[in-house]
Amino acid sequence: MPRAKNDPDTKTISIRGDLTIDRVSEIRDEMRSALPAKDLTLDLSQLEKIDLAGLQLLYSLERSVLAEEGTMRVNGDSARDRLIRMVSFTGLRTPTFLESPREQ
Amino acid sequence: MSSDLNPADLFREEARDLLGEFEEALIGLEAEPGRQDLVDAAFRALHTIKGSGAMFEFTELSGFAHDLESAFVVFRDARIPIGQEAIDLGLRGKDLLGEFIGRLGTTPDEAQQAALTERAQAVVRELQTLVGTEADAGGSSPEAERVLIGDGRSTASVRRSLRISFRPSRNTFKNGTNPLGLLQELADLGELMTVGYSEDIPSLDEITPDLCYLRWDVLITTEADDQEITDVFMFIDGESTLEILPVASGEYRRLGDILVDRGSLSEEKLETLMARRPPLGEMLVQEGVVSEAELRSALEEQRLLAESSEEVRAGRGDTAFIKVPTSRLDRLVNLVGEFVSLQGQLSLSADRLHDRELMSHTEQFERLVRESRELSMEMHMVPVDTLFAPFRRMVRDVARELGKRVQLTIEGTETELDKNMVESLRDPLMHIIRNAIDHGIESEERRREADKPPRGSLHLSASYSGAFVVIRVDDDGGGLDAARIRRRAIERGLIDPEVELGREQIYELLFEPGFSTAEKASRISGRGVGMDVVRRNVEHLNGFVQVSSEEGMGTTVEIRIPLTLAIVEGLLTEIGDAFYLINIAYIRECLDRVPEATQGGRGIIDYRGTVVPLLDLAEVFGVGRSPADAPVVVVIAGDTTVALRLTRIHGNYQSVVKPLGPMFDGVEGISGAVFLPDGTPALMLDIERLVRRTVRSGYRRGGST
Repeated sequence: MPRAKNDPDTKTISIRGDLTIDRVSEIRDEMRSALPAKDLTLDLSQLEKIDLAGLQLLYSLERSVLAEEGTMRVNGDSARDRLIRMVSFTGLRTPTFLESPREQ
Repeated sequence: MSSDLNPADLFREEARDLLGEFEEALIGLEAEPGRQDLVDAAFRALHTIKGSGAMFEFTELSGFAHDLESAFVVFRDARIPIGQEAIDLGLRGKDLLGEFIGRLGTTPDEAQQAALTERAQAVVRELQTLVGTEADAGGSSPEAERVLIGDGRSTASVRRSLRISFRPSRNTFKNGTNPLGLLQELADLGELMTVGYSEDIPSLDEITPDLCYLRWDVLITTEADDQEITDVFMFIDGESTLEILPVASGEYRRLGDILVDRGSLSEEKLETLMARRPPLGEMLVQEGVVSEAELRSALEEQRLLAESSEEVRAGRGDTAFIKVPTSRLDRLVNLVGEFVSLQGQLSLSADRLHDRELMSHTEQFERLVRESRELSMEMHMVPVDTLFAPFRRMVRDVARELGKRVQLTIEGTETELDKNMVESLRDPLMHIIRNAIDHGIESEERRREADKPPRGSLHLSASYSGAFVVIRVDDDGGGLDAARIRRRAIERGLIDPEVELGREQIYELLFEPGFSTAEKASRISGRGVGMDVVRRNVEHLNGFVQVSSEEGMGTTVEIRIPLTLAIVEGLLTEIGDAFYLINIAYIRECLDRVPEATQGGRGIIDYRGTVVPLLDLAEVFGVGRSPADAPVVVVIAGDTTVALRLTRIHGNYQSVVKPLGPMFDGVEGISGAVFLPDGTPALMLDIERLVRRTVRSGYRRGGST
């Protein structure tokens, strides 16, 4: 279940279970309620399945965060690896939340 | 001018080189099965053959290369050591590829073609079975398995690149179509370069999360046919758009053109922007004309094109070389040869006229001609490795057939030789090497008995020696049995039983027509060709072949050939009243007024403290005797020095030497002819044979030929 902590600047959105087509609408609403956030952490350590609709939603989230000049990062190494593989396989732009902090 | 350069020739030439590399890698792997770099090299060679074969639409050839490659991918990726069986199959595959290549551009005989296809398929089947079992035993990688499954058909269609633009409808996710799955299916068909576009995804406030906002450009390089590609998209809905276009291969395309083609950019806009300069890509993005993803996708295509055209250029992108058909090069060498002849005539005329201005022009002309002669000769030179490389395979095959173990070492592969010589030396060398393995190197048991390493060694080397290239074949076998050779020569009536012969003289007998030492002619070397044919072939190149041996220790065959065939720098001389040319490469010194002595009834001179046989060429050619004060030219061939007495010496002369034709084959002492300015012919003296004749004289029955 997505859950947003209410802190004005730093916020965390945790997504547990699947981030797939049948849940994207529900999770979108959770995400919206967490915004705006200056410093957003997306906790994906409990993520199970993710599909393209789910990935698309993460791009949408990123777009909203960047529009407010916020930053966004991902927690959960295995999910992070999975996202990187998915992005590379689909040839999509590497989103800011997957960029390695060392590269900055 | 363009008539002699067609793509098929270009491909053939390149493919032959690649097949050579493939073979070499396999032979190398046989010795060191674990060497990954050799596996990679084998794989690379096949891959390039496949790629360029497909580009020239040699479908069957390319398909076969693909199947071989697939097997090697498994070896490479699963890191299965390549065993003997696989190497044998690989070599058989290589031979078949060679046959495919040989048939390109010829009208195919259908029955033969079908037989070839059948043999190719058999090799592929065996290889697949082998790979299957070894992969099972060795624990295959999932990727390896995929390759095997994909290989049900033995010949694939043409490998090419396609650009697939796929814009799924908004309802795609809801309809249950998963673009990720489609991409995966495409990836199973070939190599992908995928660019996905995420720009259309709205922010959280605007998005309808179960709609699809993504689209893709995919560049696929594949052997799959159009049907297989469109089948992937069989279930997309009517609202989705799909465009599949072939990507022109093998050419460099400007980024702007690619974007215009794709409709990302209008031609007018491109023109305006090109007026302000680089870098186009960045500029377009800054201007907001194309998105960053569109740019990335186009750049990928540009890179792909660059890569594919690089593959055509022998895969190394080395633009420092161009390929020129040998026929053109031959023409150039001939032309320069004619120049040289003309220049020789011009110099003689200038001398005769004593015109100083003409003489100074002639000198300059001479220098330029000399330079162009050297240059054109250099262009005609190839490393001797092109001659040696195929012998690696041959030695291996012959040794196996005879049940012997032979280690071949090769040295001096960078030595350069006239390309035409390489062609003419192949058969003689092949014969010599076969002989060495068959009759020279002993069986393993015999070698053990003789306290030798069980594996025989064969050393093939090339080196420069003055204006000559020396090619040697050394073996560490049993050596020549002089007594047996002598007995055989007496049986054959080649020598008198009473005549005492030195070891070297006995070895010379091997080159006599019809002489064969092998007690039983084996299938390997006894093909009715003897060393006499070897000698004749080498002599056609104005070269010389010699044998030395130490009983029990081994045999060395040495071939010496002039660096180039076409143009000879010679000394113009007169014997009787006819002109003769002596190749300067043989001349040690010209002497005047040499006191002559006799020894055992034959003429000799004292040359720098050693006794050197003297040959009066006037006598040899039956035009009387030269006066005792006639000049003498000391020549050296091999290790033998001989003095030749001539009637007159004129000076240096360089010219194109024309062969005399088969009519004169039996004439000893002459190897060609040139024409002097006034049309008088001058004959080229065959120094090697004259010297040999001198060495031999005295033991031959019935005098000279």
